Amino acid sequence: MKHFLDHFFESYQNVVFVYCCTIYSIYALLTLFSYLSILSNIRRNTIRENLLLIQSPLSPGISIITGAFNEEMTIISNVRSLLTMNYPAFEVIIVNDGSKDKTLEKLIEEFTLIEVDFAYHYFIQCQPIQRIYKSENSAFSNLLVIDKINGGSKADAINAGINASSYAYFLNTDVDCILDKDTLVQMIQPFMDDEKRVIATGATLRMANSCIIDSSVLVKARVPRAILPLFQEIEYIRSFVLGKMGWNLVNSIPNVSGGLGMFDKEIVIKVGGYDANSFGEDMDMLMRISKYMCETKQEYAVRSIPQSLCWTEGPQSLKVFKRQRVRWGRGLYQIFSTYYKLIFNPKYKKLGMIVLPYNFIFELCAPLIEFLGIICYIYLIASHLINWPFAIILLVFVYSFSVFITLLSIVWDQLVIRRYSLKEVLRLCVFVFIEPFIYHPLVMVFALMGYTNQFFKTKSNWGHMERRGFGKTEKAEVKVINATVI
Amino acid sequence: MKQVLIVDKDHVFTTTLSAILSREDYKVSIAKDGKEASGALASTVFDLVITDMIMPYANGFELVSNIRNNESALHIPVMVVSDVTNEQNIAHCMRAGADVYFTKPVNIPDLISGIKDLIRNQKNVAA
Amino acid sequence: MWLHNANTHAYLSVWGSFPFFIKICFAISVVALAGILFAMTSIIAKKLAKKKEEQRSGLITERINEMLLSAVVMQQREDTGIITKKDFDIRPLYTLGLSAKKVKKILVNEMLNYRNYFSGTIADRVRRLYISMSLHEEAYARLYKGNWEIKVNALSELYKMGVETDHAYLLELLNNNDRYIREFARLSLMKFTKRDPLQFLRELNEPISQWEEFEIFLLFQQKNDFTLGSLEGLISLDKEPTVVSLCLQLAVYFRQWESVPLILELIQTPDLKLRAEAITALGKLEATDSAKYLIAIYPGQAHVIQLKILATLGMIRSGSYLRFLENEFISSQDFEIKKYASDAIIKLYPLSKITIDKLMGNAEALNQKILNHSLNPLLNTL
Repeated sequence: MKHFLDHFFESYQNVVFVYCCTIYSIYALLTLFSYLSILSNIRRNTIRENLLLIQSPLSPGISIITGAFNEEMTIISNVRSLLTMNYPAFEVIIVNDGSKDKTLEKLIEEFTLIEVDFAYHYFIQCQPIQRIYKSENSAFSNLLVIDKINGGSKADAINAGINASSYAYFLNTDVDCILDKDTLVQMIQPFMDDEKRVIATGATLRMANSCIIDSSVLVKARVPRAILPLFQEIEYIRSFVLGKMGWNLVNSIPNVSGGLGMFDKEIVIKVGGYDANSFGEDMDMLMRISKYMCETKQEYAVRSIPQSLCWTEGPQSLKVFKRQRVRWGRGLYQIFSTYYKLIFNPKYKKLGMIVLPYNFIFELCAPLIEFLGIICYIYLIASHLINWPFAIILLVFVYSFSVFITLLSIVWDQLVIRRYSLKEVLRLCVFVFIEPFIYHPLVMVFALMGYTNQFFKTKSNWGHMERRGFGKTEKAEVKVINATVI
Repeated sequence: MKQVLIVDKDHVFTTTLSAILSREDYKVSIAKDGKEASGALASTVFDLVITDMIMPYANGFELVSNIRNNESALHIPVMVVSDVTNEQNIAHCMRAGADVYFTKPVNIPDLISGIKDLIRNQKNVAA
Repeated sequence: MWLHNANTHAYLSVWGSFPFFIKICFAISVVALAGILFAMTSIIAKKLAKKKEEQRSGLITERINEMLLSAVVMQQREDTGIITKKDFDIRPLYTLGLSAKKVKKILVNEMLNYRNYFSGTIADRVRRLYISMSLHEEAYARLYKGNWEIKVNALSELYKMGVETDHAYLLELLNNNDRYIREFARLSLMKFTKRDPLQFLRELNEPISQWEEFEIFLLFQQKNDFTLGSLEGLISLDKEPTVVSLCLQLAVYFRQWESVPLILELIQTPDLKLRAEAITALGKLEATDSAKYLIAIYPGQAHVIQLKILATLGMIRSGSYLRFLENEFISSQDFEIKKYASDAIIKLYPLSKITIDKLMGNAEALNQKILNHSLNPLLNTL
């Protein structure tokens, strides 16, 4: 037995080594890709002025759809902020998902809402609608409030909003997200300017935790002061700036975040809307629409832009953070148990040949291989089989490379974002050095817990029933499933 | 001297327009969004409001409808000067109670004669 | 000295005994560590430089705006005020820490801003100031020499400033490899051509992006020195659908009723999106005569097209097709068909007053709800 274990772990070392080298080569490539993609975005932005979209009477209308559950504290300022977006033709649809507090009452009072006899049709499935409200004040005529029975998930609320929306594009966001005023003009741009049919666009999300915010308008962006959100911000930058922008170059983006994404409504309705039973409804949606486009043999593109347009409250306590990441783990596992048949299926082109295989091997399996790697390491140390100089060199290699890549993502990010002062950026940089020791192991363990939960289907409804039932900080949970990409 | 309130988030536009109107003997105040404008309206009686549509905190629609729903400001003529040329948007704005809509780029002589008309008509209504 | 040598030797021999992959890892680590150092310094250096530059350009922008205000806007002289380089001396700004090139760039940006705010005399003065400062010549130079990015920016600058470029060169650029260059060359040609600017669309055989469609539409919306001319050969089955789509919008905007026969012909296109747009254009043109044809083809059409036909019948405002709408509303089982038919009936008010009363009187619950929705002014504002 001892002999077998020795043998196993020694050869496992090699597996880990090869795995690690492959993933690092891909990261290096992605870093290059994202640089190119960001540069071309910057160039395009000097030619494509937002002003044209404001001026043109042809600019397509956009429906902003967001679900609200127990948001009485912030709902008014959030809705007001959404109503003042920099765009000439949009509507705001708030889906009150059976709130138990005064969310609806506050909305009714503030915007002088009255119930309207709306001929609501369930194009896609969702929990029953109770009432629909519009404002008597013509100043708010682009606001629609839907009161529906709680569906336990964001997906269900967004579906309800899609059914009532009047425009061909919709922006899916969370009501407590702080959006940049230019969100709509920036995010519709790829739809208008790409040679392929764009079916979804995402942009960069950041942490709102320490930002200065006045009536839901971002006044000053600051890096989070608390350590957990700070690590999340670093992770988000890496995921959006390196990951999404890198994959953008080869049109293989795996996910458009649930915190902020713009979609072509026609396709979303064709695929039946969001899956209310999914733990990662945003990635699931991207898989669905990509799959649909492949199956109907249409060319398509999913785009990501490097601008930071959305600030979201990241979980600040370990308990909440854990719950979020465990759910993300479940979500990812769920995605692969649904779509595994597409892996390496040439019919699904890039989705089948790049997106799914990459995310399976380097996203889903990463925590497993890493976990086993650590066990292996401990075993080798315990049985004195370790070659210390080699081990240390390897450790330095892994550490320095990952820090380097993360720092580069911050450098790339700085090409686009101007809001941070030098002090803020340095704060980010310092924590990049600590992240691999503290934050990374946490993420790994929580992901594994998610997998096992999903595998044994423990408390299968737990996440759904309670995910919106906690304090304010928790709302952020649903936002960036899989920010761990890269 | 007639008092005019210009509401627009674009600093260069407001200062330029205010210089032009001052030369035409108007007393000009500037607000950079709907919230500031409401503050200004509460403290001063204006003879005319010139506003943009898209602004943070409270947009033009809300500003116009606030003016129209306010007993003391009800009669102030409102002129919209905006980048937006979308017809629905213009219709919406007029429904909310704006008197005249100009799209940018705006021709100054037209704008000034528009202002004069509005203020003159306003006097007739008051008298 | 001796000791040191021995140490080096010892290290070298240890290094030599390392397997190849360890050596590679070691090398990469060294590179990564150097990279970390580089990344950190570059972040700090760039951030500081940017901050300084922002402060300086802020100050320069402010000065330039003051100068533009007095030279262009407050210019009291009744003559169309030819402002010379001497009246508008930007050389003092060169001492404020930014290169002359950057100062000029800020100046041009601010000038373009002015042209976005004001038309008429002010816009024209800005344009003449731009020319009298020879800034257009600098743009020409960039246009001929630069890489694609510089070319596009020069083209768009001249285009927005309203300064004509060498016609022959623009024609040459129509065949450039870069789509943005082709696009701006087209836009410029259309802007500065008074007689039949549409010829460039007629000769075009590649799709245009929606963005370009917006640009061209806005150009024609603001252009006041031309007549649109016939859209024959443009609204046609064998043109690029994206170009046709733009021309449909133009036909509607310029109320070109003579293109109605062309549009009717276009309805035969297999491209559903284009067919839908053609039908909508008929509605917006209120082409009463086309209603009969639309009803005739209605039964065989795809669902989306049927919806468009219903909407168009509402826009055409002829009461003669009320029976048809009423029948669709009552007999169809499809929610959207019902909704669109109901919207169209309501739009035909007051012609449809009797029909509405009748339907309200004996409609089943769903139909009643749909009619109420169409009737509610709060729900029909978008």
